[in-house]
This record gives sequence, structure tokens and C-alpha cells, in this order.
Amino acid sequence: MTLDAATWQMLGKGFFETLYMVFGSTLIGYLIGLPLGVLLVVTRKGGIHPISWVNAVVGVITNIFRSIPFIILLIMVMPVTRAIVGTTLGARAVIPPLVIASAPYIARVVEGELSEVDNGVIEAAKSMGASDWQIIWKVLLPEAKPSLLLGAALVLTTVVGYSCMSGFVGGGGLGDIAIRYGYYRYDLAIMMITVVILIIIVQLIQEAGSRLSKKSDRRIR
Amino acid sequence: MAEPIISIRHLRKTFGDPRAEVEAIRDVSIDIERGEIYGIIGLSGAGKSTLVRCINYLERPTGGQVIFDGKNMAELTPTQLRVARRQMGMIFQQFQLLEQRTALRNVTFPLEIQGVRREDAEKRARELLKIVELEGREQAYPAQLSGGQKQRVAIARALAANPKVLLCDEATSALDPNTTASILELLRRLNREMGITVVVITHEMDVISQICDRVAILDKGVIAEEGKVSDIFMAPKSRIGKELILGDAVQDVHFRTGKLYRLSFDGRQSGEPVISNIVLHAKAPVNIMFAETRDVGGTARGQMLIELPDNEAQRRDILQYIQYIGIPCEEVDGNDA
Repeated sequence: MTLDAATWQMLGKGFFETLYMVFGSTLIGYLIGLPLGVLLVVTRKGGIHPISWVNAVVGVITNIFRSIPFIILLIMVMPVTRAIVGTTLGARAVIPPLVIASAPYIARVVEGELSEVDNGVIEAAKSMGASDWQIIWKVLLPEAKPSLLLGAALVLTTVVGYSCMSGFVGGGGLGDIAIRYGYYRYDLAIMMITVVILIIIVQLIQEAGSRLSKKSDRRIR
Repeated sequence: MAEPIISIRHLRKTFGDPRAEVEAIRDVSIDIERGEIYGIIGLSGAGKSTLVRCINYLERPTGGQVIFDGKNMAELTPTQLRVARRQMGMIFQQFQLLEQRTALRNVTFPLEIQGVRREDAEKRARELLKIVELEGREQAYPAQLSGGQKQRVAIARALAANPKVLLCDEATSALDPNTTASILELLRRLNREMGITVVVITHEMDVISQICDRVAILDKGVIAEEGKVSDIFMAPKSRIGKELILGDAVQDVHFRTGKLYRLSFDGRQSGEPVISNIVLHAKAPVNIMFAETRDVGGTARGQMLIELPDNEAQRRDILQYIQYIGIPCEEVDGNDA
């Protein structure tokens, strides 16, 4: 076990790689998952624009991707990753599988949060002549903002976990370090340090999410 | 008379699939005149809320027609329907304000939807909040307002787009009696000052008696009776009407008791429905044996002979009320009436 400068440098690099993978893929994940979540709420029975077949198709697709264990998804999407990124190694190569895993998860999380918006408020907006788009942009999303922020923290912490699994297939980041040193070389100290850093990351994300959510919520105060 | 602002013809609304459908509205036809306050009363489950939602097509009727301001709602395209809805403001029992917006931004909401410039919308919203007596609370969030204040914001919001009609769905049912009175007074004032037609849905007879001009009593999806509030209060004809107006008293009333009283009217406002008020207050019927009143320059003069129910408590309640409103009253022997 050696905790020299090079090791710390490696840990520092792993830390930033993890942040890069987690935030990058979650951001892209939201670009896909948020519209899907909106679609699930809007098109369902009793929604503001029910289209049962769209709802069923989107629902089934999200369920399929949600049922594949991430470690298997990582391997399954390797051809896709190679086509997009050009390689299957390193932090950048983990982003496609992370996006594919997080987007359907985000869709379900967003669906749950938007469902909390009171139907009566939506009805009131309709009575004022709001269009479906206006209800989505001006009622559903703003009214659900505090829970959307809380949900984003949940998604980010989950993706932190996923990103670590990518270490098994040479993905980079803290998970990669923990697996290479802790699992293959029995270097318990380095593994523990990476775990502590991961715990701190998760704590910070959760705390930031809770605070932002509370701060943005006008229902309490 | 001008054409009604809202004309409902043979309206029918069923829910559920054809095998197990529930008939919420069976066959309702009513005309709501411009500038009046029209009440629709019924017990819960009578179909009131469905009926009002059919007026602005939040619920699409299964059959029949809704003609709003000369337009058949069924024939409107989705865009035209949204435009028509803007001419019908609506308020709700649970207020339904946007919780993440300030009072001011709640009121600008319907204007934003129409693409009104933000500064113009805010100017109008400030005016409206002043009208509903919420000046100074523009930046408050709904969570910081009381129930009555929330309903005032909701009223301001409903008025923002200058609607011709205000639909009130149990608007005071979540409020305490004092707040209810102040909200009803506000509705009455808006009706008088702005000439807006108001449709009031309620299960409370007091609400009808306080502000409505005409009333329809809805029972199991059909209109049991309809007419001027004063007429219906004086003599409800339907079973449900009697139940709503007189309450439980309707069953155990025995007349021909010989308990006769003479009321003398000495110049009170003739617009005040004294007998209706007595009936409403005591929730007990009154039998008018003889009446001779005359409207003299806006005041009622004359006398009336009424028979009160046999029930001791009801009779005492009525007499106390008569004394309270200051009408001279004396018991008379049945023989010298």
C-alpha cells in the first residue's frame, strides 16, 4: 500500500472523472427522460391528452430498459458505444450506457413527480383556456419543480452507483480505481478511500438537492 | 328579453362504459339570463358539479346542447373552445391556485396564456387584486393566505380575462360562515358593478338565499323545480325542494293548530323577503292565512296573518326571530282572525 503523491493524483483524477460521467450522463439522460416522463403523464388515461397506445409503447420501452441489470447493459451496448464514442474504454465510453440506463429511470421518476400535481389545478388551467402545451410548461413542470429537484438528486446518486460498476469493463472514475486496486490487488486502503469519497459525493448531491428543493418550494414558509 | 347568455337544452351526461354507465345528468334544460345570479342547488351526487363542467365543456356532454352567447359549444374547434372558455371564469371549492406562484402571478396566468404583455398583465392583475380587496398581498404565495384570501385571488384570476360569466363550483363550501358571507358579498358586488353573470353551484340553501336571483333544484340528474328564489322559498313544490329549504322539519309539521299570529308591516323595505327569511332561519314552515300588504314608495305596509307549527321549539324560534328583526307581532285567537 502506497499513499504517495501519484496515488492521490490518481484519486483526484478519478474523482473528476466520476463527476464528469455522472453529471454528463444525467444531463443527457434528462434531455431524453424528462420528455418521456411528461409524455407518460400527459398521454395516460385521465391525463391532459390521453393517447393510450403512445402511453403503452413508451411504458413498455421504459420497462424493458429498466429491467436490464446495469452491469449487463454495459456489455450489451458496447457496439453502440464504439459507434458513438469510438472506444469502449475510459470515462467518455461510459456515458452512452449510463444515458441508456438513466433515461428510462428518469422518465419514471419524473412521471411520479408530475402525477403529484393536483388535478384540480390542471382543471382550473383548462377552464382558463390553456392549451396542452401551456399546461405542461406553465402548470405541470413549475408546480412540480420542488419534487423534480429532489428527484434529480435521487437520479444523480443512483447514477453515481452505476458509474462505479463501469469500472469492471474499464470505465474509469473512482469505481475503476476501487475495482483495480481494491478487488484485483487487495489494496484495501485505496478501496476504502474511494468509498469514502463516493459517500461524500452522494451526501453532497443529496444535501444540495434537498436544499434547492426546499428553497424553491413556496408551499412551506 | 335578450337571448340567454347560457342556454342548456336536454343535457345528458353519462360516465363509464355502456354496460355499466352512470347517468350523472339525465335531461336538464335551463336558460341563464344575462346579468343574473343563477343558483343550482342539490345534495351531493345530484350532478351539480358535472352540470357546471358541461357548461364550459370541461366535461363533454353525452347528449343535448349548451349554447353559450349564441354559440353551440359542441360545434367549436379545440382552439375556438379555448377562446370560449376564456369568456367563462371559474372558481372552485379548493381554490386551485398555482402554489408556486405569487398572488399577482396567479392572476396574470390567464393573461399570459392569451399572450398579453407581461407589464400589461401585471397592471391588470394589480387592479383586480384591488377590486377583491387584496391590495398589498400581491407578492404573497397561496400558502401564506387564508382560505378567504385564496378564494379572492381565485376570483381575481377568474376575472382577469374579462369573462362574461363566472362559474362558481361550491366556491364557499370550504370557508367558515363569516368568510362565506364576505365572498358572497363580493360576488354580488361584482355582479352589480361589472354586470357579470354568475352561476352558483352549491349544496347550501343559505348561499342561494343570500345572492341568487333564480334557482334550479337538481335532484338525481334532473331539475326538480326552477324559478325565482323568493317564489321557491315561499312555496317549494318538489319533495327535494322542501327537504332543502325546510330540512328535517318537513316531516313532522302539523298545521290547523290554531296558533295564529298577526304581523304588522310598518314600512320596512319591501324588497326584503321577510317570510322567506323567517322560514330559512327557523327551517320550519309558516302557513300564510291572510295577507294584505301594499308597496308604498318602496316600503311594505299592511298586515299578515300566519299560522305557526305546533312544535313548541320551532314556534319559539320563529317568534324570537320575528322580534329580532323588529316586526310587530301578536298572537291572536283563532276565532277573531
